[in-house]
Amino acid sequence: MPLVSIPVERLQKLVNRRLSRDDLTTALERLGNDVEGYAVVSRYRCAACGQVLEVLEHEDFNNRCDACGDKDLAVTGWSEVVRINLLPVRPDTFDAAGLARALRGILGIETGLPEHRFGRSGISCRVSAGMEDVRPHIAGAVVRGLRLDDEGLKALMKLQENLHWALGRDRRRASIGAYDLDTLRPGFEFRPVEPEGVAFVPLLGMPAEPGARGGEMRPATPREILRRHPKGVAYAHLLAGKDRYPLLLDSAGTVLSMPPVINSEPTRVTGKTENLFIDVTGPDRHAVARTICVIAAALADGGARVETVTIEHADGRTEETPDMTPAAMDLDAAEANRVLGLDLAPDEMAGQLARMRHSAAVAGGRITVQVPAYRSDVMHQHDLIEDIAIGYGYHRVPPRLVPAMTVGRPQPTEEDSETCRRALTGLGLMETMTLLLTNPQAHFRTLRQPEDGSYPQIENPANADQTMVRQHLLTGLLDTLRVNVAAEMPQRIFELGDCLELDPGAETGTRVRRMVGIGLTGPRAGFADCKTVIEALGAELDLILRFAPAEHPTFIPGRCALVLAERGRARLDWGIMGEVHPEVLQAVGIGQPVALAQLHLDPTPEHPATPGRASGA
Amino acid sequence: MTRLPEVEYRVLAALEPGRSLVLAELAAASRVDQSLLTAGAVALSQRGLVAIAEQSQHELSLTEDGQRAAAGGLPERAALAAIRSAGGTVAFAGLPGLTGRPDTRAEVKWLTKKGWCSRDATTLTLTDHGRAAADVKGADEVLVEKLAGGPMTEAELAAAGVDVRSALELLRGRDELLRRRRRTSRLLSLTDAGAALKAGGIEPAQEVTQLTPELIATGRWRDVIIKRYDVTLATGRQYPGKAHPLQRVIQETRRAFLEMGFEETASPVVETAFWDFDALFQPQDHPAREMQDTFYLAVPAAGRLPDAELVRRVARTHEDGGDTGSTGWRYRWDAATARKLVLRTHTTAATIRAVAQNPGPPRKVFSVGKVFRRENVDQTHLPEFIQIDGIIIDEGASLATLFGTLSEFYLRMGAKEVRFRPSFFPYTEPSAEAFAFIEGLGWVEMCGCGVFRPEVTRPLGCRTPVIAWGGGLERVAMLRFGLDDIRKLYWADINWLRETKLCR
Repeated sequence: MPLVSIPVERLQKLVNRRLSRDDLTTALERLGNDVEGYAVVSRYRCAACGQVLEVLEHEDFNNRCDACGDKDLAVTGWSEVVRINLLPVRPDTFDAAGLARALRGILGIETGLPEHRFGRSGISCRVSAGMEDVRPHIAGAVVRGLRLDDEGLKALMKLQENLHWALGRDRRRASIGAYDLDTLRPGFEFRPVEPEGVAFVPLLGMPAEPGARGGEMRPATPREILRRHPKGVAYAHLLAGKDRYPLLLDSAGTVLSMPPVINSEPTRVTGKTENLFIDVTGPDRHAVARTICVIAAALADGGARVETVTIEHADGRTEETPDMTPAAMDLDAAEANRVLGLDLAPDEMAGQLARMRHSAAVAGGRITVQVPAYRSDVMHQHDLIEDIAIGYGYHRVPPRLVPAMTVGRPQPTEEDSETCRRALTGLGLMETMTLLLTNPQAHFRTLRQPEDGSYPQIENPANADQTMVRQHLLTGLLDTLRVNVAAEMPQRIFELGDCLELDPGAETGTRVRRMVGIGLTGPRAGFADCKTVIEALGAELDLILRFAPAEHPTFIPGRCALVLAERGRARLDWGIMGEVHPEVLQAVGIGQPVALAQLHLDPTPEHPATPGRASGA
Repeated sequence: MTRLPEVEYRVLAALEPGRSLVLAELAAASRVDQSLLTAGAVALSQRGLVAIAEQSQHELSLTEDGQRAAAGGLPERAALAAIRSAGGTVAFAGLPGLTGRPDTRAEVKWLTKKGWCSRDATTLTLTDHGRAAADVKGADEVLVEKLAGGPMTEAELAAAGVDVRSALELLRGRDELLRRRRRTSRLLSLTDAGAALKAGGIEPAQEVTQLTPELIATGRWRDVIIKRYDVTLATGRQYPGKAHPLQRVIQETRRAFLEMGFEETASPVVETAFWDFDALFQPQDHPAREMQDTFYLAVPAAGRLPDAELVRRVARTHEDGGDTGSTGWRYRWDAATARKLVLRTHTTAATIRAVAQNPGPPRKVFSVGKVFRRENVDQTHLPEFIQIDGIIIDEGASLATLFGTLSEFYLRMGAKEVRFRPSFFPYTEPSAEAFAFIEGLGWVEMCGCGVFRPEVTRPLGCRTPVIAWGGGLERVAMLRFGLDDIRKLYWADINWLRETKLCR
């Protein structure tokens, strides 16, 4: 989860109460925030591009602007911050203003729906025909009277970035643009353009060479931006397959942005900006509407004046955005008490909902709740029930046990594993555990086994060592013995673990098999020693064993056996055992003889337990 | 008549009441080798029959010159013989010729000092005393010879018949021959009990170290004495075979669940995205489903969806909430995305399958298994780890009973106190995180938990509240066993496995 740094001073001012660190932490945690700690950030401004950077104490910092790469940075201030793991479902609490709004509620300073009544700006944005196939939804807002210091400017950019992540799903559902209104001539137009149909200077200019940051302040076409500008390259996939791209312009034809990729340089927001135009666009109407409300609420609570923008749709409909009308939702008080295991009166529930900044009217057992427009997470009355619990305080919920009597019942596989574990530890073997993930080199080739690709393979491995799921335990046993070559001999180990094999008939195309692996090493470790252990284990499992000569590439010729078992009248292929081939030992890096065995926990006649594709006798 | 091991018998026999002996004396008196004697004496003293007193003594030993003198005699002894053969008077100058030693200052010094010769300016003349001494060894010479066999205390030398006092007087100033050191020796004496035992009559008997089947069968064990051991001596190190420490935590967890009436369930390691995500109301564009975080399979690439009606209900719930009372996620649900195969990202896939299989209350179900997240291996990360998941389907399932059940569960696992705070998971509402207070560690995050959303349970045909929780076990094991590197669990140092204690 991304971490966000909220300036403590600003937060206190917005909450309008001095809180000790402990009190602040407690209140934040009651709201469900995970407080990482407190720190100091220093702020720098880039002399070249005006970008504001925030750097934590002890953070790696190469003294370069992260936007344009320039090294001419001036310190402009510092703040004490509280570091919080973002709560992805509550994007309305991503910044100091939103967090303060929630804190004022939970602390009882101000409850109920926040006042967000915005006047009309008179500014409109016309959506051209054809946008439904390109980027169908747009919302706008005008913000006046901003006094953005560096801290405020940085906070606005951070909020935008985090909303892109949480509500916008990395700009897929919605993306945000903010512009210096005083550089623009309203009204605006949102229309589709051909890839070469327009040219504008993208934010920070076009890179002089591929991979460079910032660069030449020259106009470029959408196609060129998507191919060469770093942001263009990063977000080109969101416009892939479209023959026209979305473009936002003012009445003078100045390009504001090409959502969701990039803004234009001349309209950029700086520390001198006093008035903003903000747009949110995207394919997801709901996400677009919520996002503009979150930003508008944050800026309004931060002290600016927000005004609405009229969106004129191609079909003649118009709407005022942001629309801060709360959503009404009915809540059944009995259901709430059932889910919480409490016995709260509806009025008390309404009170707790008010502390969570809803407004609630009680009528009998039903509560009608007005949910603020900036809340994107309320999909069901259960979401409001949780808010009641948070307002009430989780620490006040009395822990109780479910009265119903049920009988514990273990999985047979786990019980059988425990039996094997008892037998093998009783024989003095030490249990080891290894990873299920491995790679064909370690799993087959190092063990001299043929590899034919018929095993579960990962499409997106994180590294070359872990590209498949194991089919046998031998690799893990040898790996454990390898890391212990310097430890006291002899060593006797076992592993009880799951292996996977392909099974085209199964629902998931694979089948899990629990295996028993045995590994013995030391100057005198060998076939007989291993056979003794297997016979002892077999006896405890009530199996009658027979050992048949076998050839297997991992084992020394003539020192490998199939372990066959009889239980009642069933004849089972239990597993394989033998002395490991010296070529394998050398490849793994073990200097002592090793005997290995692998047995099926649950042997079945039709599935021989030969690891890899062994040739049985 | 009391029977004693041979050595002990001889020690007791050699000791007389009221008379203490040092070991050497006792060895001589009992005719037992000193090394054996010590063990016997200690055994007797442990039984209170013999008292051992420490006695500080001087020990004498020879230097290299001393060893030569012990072998070839003191230089003045050879000179005395030579002067006597030469008639009793020799010139100083002739002495080297007579003795075969170029430097005869030592001979001259000790011949005159001992009064064996008188001297004038140029000659030495044998005295009467010297003549008398010619055939008799002096006490000093006797002492030097005795010491040829190794260091001895003055008491031992005296016991061997050496006139130690005279000898030391004679040897004064001859430090090149002799070293004198303080040494502690043991003085043995009969105790009253020992004296009484001895008075009652003692006899020697054969002592055996090992009680053999033959001794038992023949009854001959009655005639022998079974050797007493020094029970304080160190023995060899051995380790029992042990379950892996993480496995022990898994088994404790399973036991706690089973004792609380939970049935255990399991699910495939390779899972369809449907059961891993869709059935849990995680929208198909949810970040957790991205390639960045979840392992998808190339082989096999797709699995089968469950029956069409169930799939339809889940799809509708995602799209518009269906009949669950929810708004849904407002997007087009895609069956192909749900058919993709992933490495199970949580064992909630197992418990949600259990709900679908039988949604009828009351049920308590748990699962323990490997889950996968797309991570690289480092000190605190692994791409796979063990997770536990539990659910209760019950008319009484609620946030309060969730907290109660988890408190009981973690108290059973050794926590001192359990508390909860709000959290977020896509499939539970309300959601919480459980923290346990563990002695010596403080508050530790144990698991995420909550009440399943109706969007999760209703499409599966479950109309009863379901509470659920899940958490990883590696961190619990690391805290318990004081590990700072998670890799130690899966690339285990066998010495760590051997020495990690079974007790809590």
